[in-house]
Parts: sequence; structure tokens; C-alpha cells
Amino acid sequence: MILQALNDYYERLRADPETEVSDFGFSQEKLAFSLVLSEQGSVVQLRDLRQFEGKRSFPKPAVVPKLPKERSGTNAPSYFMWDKSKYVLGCELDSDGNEIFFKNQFDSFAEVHREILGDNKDSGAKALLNFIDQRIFGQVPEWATKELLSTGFICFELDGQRGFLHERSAIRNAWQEYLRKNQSEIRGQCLITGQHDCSIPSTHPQMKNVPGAQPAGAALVSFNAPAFGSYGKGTSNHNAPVSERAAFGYTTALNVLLAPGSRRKVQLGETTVVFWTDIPGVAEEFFGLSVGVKEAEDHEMAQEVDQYLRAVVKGYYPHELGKRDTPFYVLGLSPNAARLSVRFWHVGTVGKMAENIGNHYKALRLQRSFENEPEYPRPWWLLKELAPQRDSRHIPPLLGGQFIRAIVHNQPYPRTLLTTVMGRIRADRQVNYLRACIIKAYLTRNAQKEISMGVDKENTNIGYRLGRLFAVVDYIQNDAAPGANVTVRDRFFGAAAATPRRIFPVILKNAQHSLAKIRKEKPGWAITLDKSVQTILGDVDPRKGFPATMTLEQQGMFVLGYYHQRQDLYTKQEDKTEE
Amino acid sequence: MAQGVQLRVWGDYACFTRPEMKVERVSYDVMTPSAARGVLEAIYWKPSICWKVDRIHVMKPILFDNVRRNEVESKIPVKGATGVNAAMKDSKTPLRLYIEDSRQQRAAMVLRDVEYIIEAHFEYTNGEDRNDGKHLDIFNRRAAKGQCFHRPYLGCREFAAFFEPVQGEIPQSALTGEKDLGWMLFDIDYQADMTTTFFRPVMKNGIIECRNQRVVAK
Repeated sequence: MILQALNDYYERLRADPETEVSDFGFSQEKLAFSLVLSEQGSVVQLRDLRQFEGKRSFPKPAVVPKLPKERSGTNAPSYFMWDKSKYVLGCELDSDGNEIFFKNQFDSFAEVHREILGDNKDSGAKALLNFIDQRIFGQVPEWATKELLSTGFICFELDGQRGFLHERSAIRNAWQEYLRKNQSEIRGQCLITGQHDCSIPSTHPQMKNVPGAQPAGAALVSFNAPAFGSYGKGTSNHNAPVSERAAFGYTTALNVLLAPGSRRKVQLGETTVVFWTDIPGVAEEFFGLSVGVKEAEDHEMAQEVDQYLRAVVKGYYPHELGKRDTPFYVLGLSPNAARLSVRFWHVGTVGKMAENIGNHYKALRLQRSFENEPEYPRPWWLLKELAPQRDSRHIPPLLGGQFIRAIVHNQPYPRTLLTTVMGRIRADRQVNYLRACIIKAYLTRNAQKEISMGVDKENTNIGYRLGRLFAVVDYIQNDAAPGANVTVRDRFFGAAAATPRRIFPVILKNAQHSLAKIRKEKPGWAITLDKSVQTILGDVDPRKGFPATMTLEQQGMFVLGYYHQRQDLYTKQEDKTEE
Repeated sequence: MAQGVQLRVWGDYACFTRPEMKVERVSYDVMTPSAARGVLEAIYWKPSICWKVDRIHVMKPILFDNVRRNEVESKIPVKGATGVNAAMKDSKTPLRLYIEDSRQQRAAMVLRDVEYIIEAHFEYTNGEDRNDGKHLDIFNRRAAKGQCFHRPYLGCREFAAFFEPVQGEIPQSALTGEKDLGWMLFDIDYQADMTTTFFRPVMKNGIIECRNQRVVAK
């Protein structure tokens, strides 16, 4: 289904006049120079196609003939109608500016063009063949500048005529004829289109711009080691018969989605997520900004997304997103050296997607500690909380994909989410808004717990109660000895959450000492604090006492109780009455 | 049908690998007919019959999960000095693969908590041994006792299948509505150089119709 949807997307892109995708056998490349040839094949002019902005130069993007696979190896054949000077002139400058000559490449350029153009009657074709005949190996023509010999791709045009040689219809036809003749001999049923008797290529074009994969490109469909082949098909893509055209289609579409600056791509840890709809519009943008992107580029955009989120959290559907039943596709990819692996794949509708995102953010909702904290924390920020030192490189690799999958499918969150966040809290003893959000979302969705946004004094869950108690004790100690080197939280947080029976009697006793100290200075406040300890403890079953151990879920509740109570303690009384 | 059987199979995991994504494995949404055939053949098969899968009932919602495993990239060769042929000839050459040198970490997107009911019948491949009741009884007896030639599996050998015959009517699936499953592997034509054949099923209320497809693999 994945490849089919991508191939369909390619067909749609091709039908859309506003987007430029290349046809089969052509590719968009960046050209630096053009040689203007006379009909006799001599070079009339050397034209620089680059645009300059200050010191930087930008080669001109152009659609040129290219086989749908990457060139590789030391003696790779020349491209048709364009190439580097290594091929065109057989000469290239090394980094020290010395001329180095390449015989194989020089010959390959002639060979390829003679084979394809042969006895072509077109004047442009003749001019190029004449040019090839006049080249002498080992000599650099005087018009060749140093830049031409060291950078960029070269193409050709005919003197006195508009456009490049590779744009002439006679030459395009010759190229297409060549493609037809050179398709793979092996035929079979295409697994994307279902068509019988298609020509099946042995490799597919590669995908670029996937962080973590090889920069030259990685393959989604490949069989690059003997153990991967089946039924004697070896390491070729005949293991998975895909027609030449469909292979080109799906890879082109995926490359468009992955292109730098694409708005249909988000990066989460090592997972690259691409998404698209049948009807382009706000929906794609909304998804990208609500699920991915570290920061929306401009403030206005971020506010707009927050507004949509506010609506979907309440269960409304913002009509700006377009028709509800527009199909929506999400594909999560992650790199594995020269290959790409699929982390998840989801086909839904825009309406369902908005609903699922709404459910996710609803599960996350929690009272903020500070005004500047995000009301709707993006997955990226949450994932960073799970990494040691908040370094995005240390995000557990599988988790990003699983987390997004849980969001788009509206499924339970991965359990590792809870174990990882509890592990982080135990390690650095920091309970902040984002971590509390993660725990709340997990417990709401996976353990079906009812959890309020702020402190819930009626909640009798033992974990929650003890968490609140711990917050009060922490507060008392802080009040009695402000700026202590080691606080009760630093020493006891993890242990108090895991084994209350062992820890709580100790810290409650210590709290009494602290209370005694506060009583000397602020007797009224000491009574208030003492009362709140009593009220919280009041509901703890005296027969059972403190539980010896607590499960991970109870520990999660402990963290939430702690977070809520602390919020409550540190919020000024007047603020509270206003709410 | 006089030659028809019904078998319930289930398991914790399944991976009906898509051929286009068999290196970093991605499973099809549902069991393929050839995987169903494999399950039946694991329980009972002989050269005079061949199994034809009629319908596959998908009983549980489709759920995916990701796993990452260490595997190897090479096979022990058949030919050559270190190959299987050489080892068989002199019965001394050790057959070995050093995993340290050929380790490959592969990710897989597999199915979780699956349950299917396979409806199938058998056909005869030649004139011998034509006795409907006998084959049917053998299959049902073996399936009820849990006997099999090798443990049936759900797509990959590591995802073992549990099985039992279905008595009486087939229960309603948990799935409703129609779902286009795209082009799916139907089977492999072993007589035409192991060519793969594909079909385009539509799942209606959890039922996938597998008849009226090109007949392959005799």
C-alpha cells in the first residue's frame, strides 16, 4: 500500500501544473555552464549559468535526461547531453589546481552520444557529435576556464537558437527511444500497479535527504546482502517485481516529500515522518506543525496552530482544514545505513487525524508551572525530556516512531514512555511540566485514570496522595532551611515513590523538626502546613499504612500528585480565587 | 464442501512480509493466501493433494508493532570450498558463519495479536489416492490433536501459530466495513521460475475472498 500511495501521489503531482516533477527518464539537476556550439561543433561561447549572491553561487536547476538510477563506480558511464568536465573534456583539476586526465570518462562521453544520437538528422545532434569528434584527449582547449574544469555540470546549446540542446524534441525523442530499447529483459507482474508483463529493473532510484542515512541516498526497496534474497533471485530487486515506471514514480514522489524545505516532513529523533493528503491545503500544514517541527517559523503561525489545537482538543473540527473525508497518509521512515526502514504507516482521513491529534493533546493537558511554558507541548519537546541531558541524539531510537504512531492511530502509548520518564526522574530528580504531561497522558490513555488538570483533593489514589504529601514535606523543609545543599527531594524522591513504607516515616519525622523551627517564626503558617499534612494523611488507610512498594503506574500517580500539590503550594492565594 | 476445511489460527505476533520490504520487514495488513496454505501444509499434506485457500476471516483488529533484531547478512554457500556441497562430499569441512562478521541489525513492522480463520479445500494433483473422506478425516483429526509435520507459523518461522479446527458456523469478525488492501502477494508460481503473482483483495466485514484468482503452484 505504501508504494502504491506514493505512486498515486506522483501521478497527482504530475497532473498538477503548479508543481514540477520530472518525467520518467528525466531528472532535475543543477547546471553551472553551457557551451554554445556552432553547427560545425566548435565552441562559440562559454556561458556561465550560475547566479551570484555575494560570494556564494547557485547553479541553475534544469530538467535533464537521466537514467532513473545513480551513477556509481570509478568507470561509470557518462550522462547524456550533460556532465562534468571530467567527461566532456576528459580533464579535471585536483585541489591543487593540477590538470588530471581521465581516458575512460573521455571515451565514455563519446560512446554514449554516438550510441544514442548515431545517425540523427537533427542539427543540434550533429553539432554535438562534431564537437565530440574534434576533441583531443590530453589537451585542454583555450576557452576552458579553471572554474569550468573544477566545478559543476556542463550542458550544451546551439548558436543562434533558443534553449538547450537537451530540450530539443529530436534529442528528447532519441533519448526516449533509447530508454525503451534498454529496459530490463526480465518481465513480470508489477506489485504496485498489478500490471502483467512489465519490465522489471534490478535496482530502484535512491532516496535523499533522510538524516542519518547515507547522503548519496538510501533505498527503500533493496536487497543488498545475500541473506535478503529469496527464491534464487539474488540481491536484485527482482525479489520484489516493480515496473520501471512505478519504481520511478514512487521514488520521485518520496524524494519530493523529503526534499529540503519540504512542508510535508517532520523529524522526530531518528524517525523522519512524511505525510500528504489527496487535496493539498491547511491540513498538511496543521499536521506538520502540531506533530513535528521544533518551533513554528513565525509567531503568528504558531498561534494559529494553537488555535486549531484548542478547537480539536474540545472536539470541534476547524473547517479550514478542508473536507473531513480527504484521505491522509503518514509514513515514518528511519535510516539504517544504506537502507530505509518503515517505522509506521497510516492511512486515515483528515477528520480522523484531527480527532486523534485532539485526543492526544487532551490527554496531555495539565496546569502549567510557568506562563511561558507551551500550552500544547509538541512531541519533539516531550521526547527531548526522555533523553539524558535533554540531548536529542540520545532519544531512545524506537520511541519517537512508536510515540507518533500512538498519536496518529489513537492507540495506547508505548509503555517505554512511562518507564523512560520515571527513569529520568529517578536519575535527575526533576519533575517539570513536560514530564508531568507525559505521565498524565500515559496514565489517562493507558491506565484509564481520571486525572484533573490541577490538584485534586478528592483523589484517594494512594500514589497520588503520597505524592502530594511528599510535596508538602518538601515545601516544609525548604521553608525551614531555605537553600539547603541537599533537599529531601534530592535524597528521597525516587525511594519515596518506589518504597513509601521505608521512607515516609523518616521524612515525616524530619518534617516535624522543620515545622518546629517554622513555628518559632511564623506560628500561624506552621499550623496551616501541619493541617495540610494531616488532611492528606487522613485518607490513608491506617490499617494498611504506607504501602511497602508501589507499581510503576502508582509511581506515575505519585509524580503527578507531587507536581499538582507543588503547583498549589506555590500559587499565590489571590491567583487561586480568581480562577 | 466435501473437501472443505475450516481452521482457526492465532498468535501473539505475525509478519506476512511484503516482498518490496523484506529487508527492513513490513508486514501486509492481513494473512496472505500463501501463508494460509503454508499453515495447512504444515498440518497435513501429501503429493497427491494440494490446498486451495477459499476465504480468510480476519477476526481481530489490525495492530502493528516495531521490533529490531540482530540478524545475519550472509548465507552459507552451497558451492565452493567452504560450501555445503564440499562438506557433504568429504564430511569433514565444517560449515560455519561468523556472526561477528556478518551481523545486520534489521527493523521490522510486525502484526500484534492476530487471529484468522482459514477456509480452504483440497484438490487432487493426479489420479491416485482419491478419497475425500480419508484426507478430510486425517486433516481434522490431526488439527484437533494438535499434530503437525512442523509447527505452523504466521508468516515467519519465529512467529509460531496456534491452531484448532472450527466446529460449526464461523463466528462474526470484529471488523466491519470495506477495506482495500492494495496489491498483495497471492502465491509463487514454482513452475514458472518461481514467479510471484499478485492479487487485489478487498476485505469486506473482515472476510477476504481468495477464490477466482489465477491458479498457480500445482
